[in-house]
Amino acid sequence: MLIFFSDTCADSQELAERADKALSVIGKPLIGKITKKENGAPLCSNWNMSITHTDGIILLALSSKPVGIDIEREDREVPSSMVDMKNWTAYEAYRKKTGEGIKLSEVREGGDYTREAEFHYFIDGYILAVAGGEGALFTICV
Amino acid sequence: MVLEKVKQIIAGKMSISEDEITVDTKLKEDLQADSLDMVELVMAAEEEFGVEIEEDAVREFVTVGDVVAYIEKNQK
Repeated sequence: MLIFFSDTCADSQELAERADKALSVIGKPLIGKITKKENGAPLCSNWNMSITHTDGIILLALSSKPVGIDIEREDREVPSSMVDMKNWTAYEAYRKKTGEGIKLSEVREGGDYTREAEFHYFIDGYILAVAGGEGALFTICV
Repeated sequence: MVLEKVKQIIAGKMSISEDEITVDTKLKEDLQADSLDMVELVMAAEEEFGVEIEEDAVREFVTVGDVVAYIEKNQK
């Protein structure tokens, strides 16, 4: 699966446009226009997609399977019920994958979500959780 | 006063000055609050005011004033 990222894009549509240039080079379906589901989740016709951003960095994941991603600065505070940032990002990524978004009731209850995601630390000081998706992960700066 | 306490909570959680926060300040647009910020804010407000804030209500919160109004309405 693919994750495109940039720290110079104004929004996810701009990131998608840059990603589409790369996708057309490698002959993959394009993202095109990003629309929104009723609950705010981003949608595109050709891919399962998830978007996350923090501190001016936007990441956009594309997969043939449902996928959710979440990036956070490692040193941010999380609710004590969620224990640590690894569990928080896993939870967010997981809930984005299921298409439901985070639920306050689940946050209050806490729980171990770390097995729902894989973790990547390729940006210094940040943790990226990826839930779902498939195959080898390629991260591409555009 | 609920507004003052809410401003304190927001200032603390988001590392900004209370002076920057008014009743019309938009949480997401003006303060760039993300989902983690919203959760932290809501849980801190719940603890401070002894209210439980409904999931659906949180989705509707746009301004600081919205949060204050909800708390004032639901405080015991």
